[in-house]
Amino acid sequence: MMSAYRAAAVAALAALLAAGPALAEEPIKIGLVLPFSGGPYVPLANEIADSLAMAIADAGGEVDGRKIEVLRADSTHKPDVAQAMAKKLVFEDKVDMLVGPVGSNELTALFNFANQSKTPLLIPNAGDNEATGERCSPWVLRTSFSNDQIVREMGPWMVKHGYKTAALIAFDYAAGHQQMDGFKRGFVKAGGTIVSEQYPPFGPISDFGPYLAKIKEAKPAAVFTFFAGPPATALVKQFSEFGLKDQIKLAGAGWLISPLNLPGEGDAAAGVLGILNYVPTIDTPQNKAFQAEFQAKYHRTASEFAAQGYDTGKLIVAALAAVKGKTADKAALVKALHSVTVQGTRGTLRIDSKTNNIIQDIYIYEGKKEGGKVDLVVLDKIPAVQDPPNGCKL
Amino acid sequence: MDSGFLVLQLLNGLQFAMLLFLLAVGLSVVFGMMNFINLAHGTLYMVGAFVGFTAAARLGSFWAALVAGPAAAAALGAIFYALLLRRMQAAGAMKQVLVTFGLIFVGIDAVRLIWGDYAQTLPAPAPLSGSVHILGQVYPAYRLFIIALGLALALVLYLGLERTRLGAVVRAGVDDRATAAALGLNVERAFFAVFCLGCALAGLAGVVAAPVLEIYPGMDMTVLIPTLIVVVVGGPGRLAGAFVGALLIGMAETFGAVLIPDFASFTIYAVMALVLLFRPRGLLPARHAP
Amino acid sequence: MSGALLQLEQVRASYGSGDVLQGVSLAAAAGRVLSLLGRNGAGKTTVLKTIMGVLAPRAGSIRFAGNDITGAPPHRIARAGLGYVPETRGIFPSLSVLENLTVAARGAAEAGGEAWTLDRVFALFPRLHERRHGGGGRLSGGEQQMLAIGRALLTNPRLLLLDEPTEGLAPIIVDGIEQILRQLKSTGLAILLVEQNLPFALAFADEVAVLGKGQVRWSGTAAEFAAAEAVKHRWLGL
Repeated sequence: MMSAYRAAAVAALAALLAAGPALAEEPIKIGLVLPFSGGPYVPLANEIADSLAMAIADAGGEVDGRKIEVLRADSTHKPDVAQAMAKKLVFEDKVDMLVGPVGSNELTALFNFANQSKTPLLIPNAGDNEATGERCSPWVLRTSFSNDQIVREMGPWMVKHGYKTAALIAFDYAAGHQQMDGFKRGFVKAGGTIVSEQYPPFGPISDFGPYLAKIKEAKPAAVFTFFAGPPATALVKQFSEFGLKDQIKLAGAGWLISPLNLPGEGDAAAGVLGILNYVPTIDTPQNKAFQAEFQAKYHRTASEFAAQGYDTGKLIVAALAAVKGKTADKAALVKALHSVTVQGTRGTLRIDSKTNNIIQDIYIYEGKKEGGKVDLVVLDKIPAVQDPPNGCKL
Repeated sequence: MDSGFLVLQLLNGLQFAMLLFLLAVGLSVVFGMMNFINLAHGTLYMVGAFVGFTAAARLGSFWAALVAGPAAAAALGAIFYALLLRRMQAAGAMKQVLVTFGLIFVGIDAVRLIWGDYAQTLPAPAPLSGSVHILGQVYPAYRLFIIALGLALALVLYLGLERTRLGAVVRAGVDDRATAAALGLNVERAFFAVFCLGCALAGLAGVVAAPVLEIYPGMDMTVLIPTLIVVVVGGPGRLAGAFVGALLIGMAETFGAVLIPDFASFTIYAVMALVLLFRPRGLLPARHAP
Repeated sequence: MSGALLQLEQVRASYGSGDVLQGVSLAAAAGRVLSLLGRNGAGKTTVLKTIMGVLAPRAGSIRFAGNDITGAPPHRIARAGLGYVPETRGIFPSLSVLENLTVAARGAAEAGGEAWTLDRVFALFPRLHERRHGGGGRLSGGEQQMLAIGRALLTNPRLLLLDEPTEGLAPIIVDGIEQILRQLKSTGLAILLVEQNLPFALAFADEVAVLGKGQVRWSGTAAEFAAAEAVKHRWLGL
């Protein structure tokens, strides 16, 4: 009997020792719901997740003695999977906040779940205007951009620089129309005329031949577009191959000439105008340090998606510091996210408490061929671009 | 409509038509010969593109892709045939559709496993990467290459079918398979040869399309429907049918996309419906024995 | 009948449910003409299709020149030395007359008699020579029949299967076909003839077999058949 008692005592002691770290405070958990497999956004999901983790590591990986742990969940590019993953992260893993998605297709599912479960959700990319406009939720904040915010200033800028007529082309889906409408409003108000609008069906088609023939016939001074990923590369190359580049200025929401696309676009990207919330060549100590760290680790230029991921991490760490690592009160956490201002890769960043959308600088830049390859050169910076409430009442 | 627009669109339409022709010709002749429809034909287009992409990356030459892509597609087609399709010939059309439709998804997942989920690009070869002036327009040289290749292959296939013994056996098989076999012709073997050739042409289409379109798992799904429509519109079983069908659908798609954009996704279906209304067996159906 | 060129034993075949052939036994000898008679729907065409392997037999055995060809694919059966002229003639409309003739042409399986060549077929059917570059689909019924026979001859068969060669043809054309078949018989070619036209079938038959309800009901020489009134009445309705 005695030996059994002793054995039990030893076991109990061992268990206590093993549980030692658990006696320290639970880690703060951040759940990422991103399409790590499936669909066109896999590279984007990785850029965002890797950079967000990098930002947290750069901040020491903990706040007030609590470790910050990042949990990745794969949405597989499907809204229902995204929602199921969010539920699992919140109810089983007890994460303190969610980050996601990449594309607007998964946004509604995550948005609704965060809104109903009162879980803070930070959107690191998807730009649907309504998410921080008419449909805004106190629990859903955006660290990336709204579609309108990206392109709003481009219309007046182009008219001012002598481009008085423009043709528009974007895929026929919500983001495509929001981006074109945002540009058109400013362009027409500044005295420009839209001579042609084309919205090819959304999908993997990237043969722009027929649409370019139509643009050529319309003879505009400039073309304004919204494309990202492989279709952007195809458009830039075909615009050049069809000889339009010599007659018409190509401009677009800046993903058109993203660093991810430049290698594939080659010389065709020279002379193309972009407008976006980030350019790798932004000349600030924060951005230079970020690019240096990212390039040392991944051997390529960090894209705007990486920058958004890094800045999201930085905003999270700042907000956690503001609440001294206490995450139980989710409303206080959201309030902290509204209160902090950080110097991010993109410049000075703050989340607008009236819309939950980020306030940030917007850059206008151009592809310039230098030393055998095309680089992005900043032409102009519009500081602290803030969305109007657009029907959001917070 | 200015003449420049018309010229550009005719060239664009012709270029798309040639890709459709390469895809549809194998499918159409096999369907005419064996009454067998292989929905996984597009998978060979995708595999051709991916293998071509890898070959070009390894060997540093687009021309390597142009050889490796069709060869891989033909080899895969032969394996499909030996393992599955040979046994499916006697099965009903519904079973063929289900099995070959299933193969599509197996194909997409297999390509994902091997090449990953990323879109890849295969740049046009250097001599063809620029633009040329043609009929007063600037036009991408590579697209002219597609048109030339398509027309040349159509001619070669025409001569092969009309002037060679294998061609005569194939035509006899399409006209009346049972009689051809009862005269001692190995229709089965001719069918296999045509099937593999059709697969190689689909693989070739994948490589040729790659510099214009993108390469990604699932790229086969976007060409499957237009290809089937070409077969139906042209009338299954004949080279000329596939050629005329491809021209019609290629032009309809290209002009429809910009002239009636709100209706663009339906243009080719509307063309098919119209053709079937007046020519239920397609424009140039096979001449089956009376 | 062990010396028979073609021998069917208890062959059963169907197009789905219900056997059309319910145990057909039949023998054709080398160098002889066998006429297979029977009413419409008796199964005559089915017998030929089953011999050629176009229809696979469900039971029984078929031997040709000493080899078992039961269930073999049609092209192997044809290559064993069987020439086939189907009821519908089976002309390939996409092929020219010349291509129709040559597409399946084969040299003689074994030495014995003169091999059929294009020149010999054109000598037999001068009309085909005139139309050799035309499309196979644009021939008259008689010309199609000539083409189907010529095409089968060019496979240099040892046994020619003819399915209703006179069907739908004008009397003058039928006479011409009869002349041709007499010539073929004189070369020593064995023929299995399926025919509704009794005078034509008997004009040069050596043997006769009568098919009724999926079985061979009577067989004998042409002379015996001439006297077999009961058989004619019962199975041919004469």
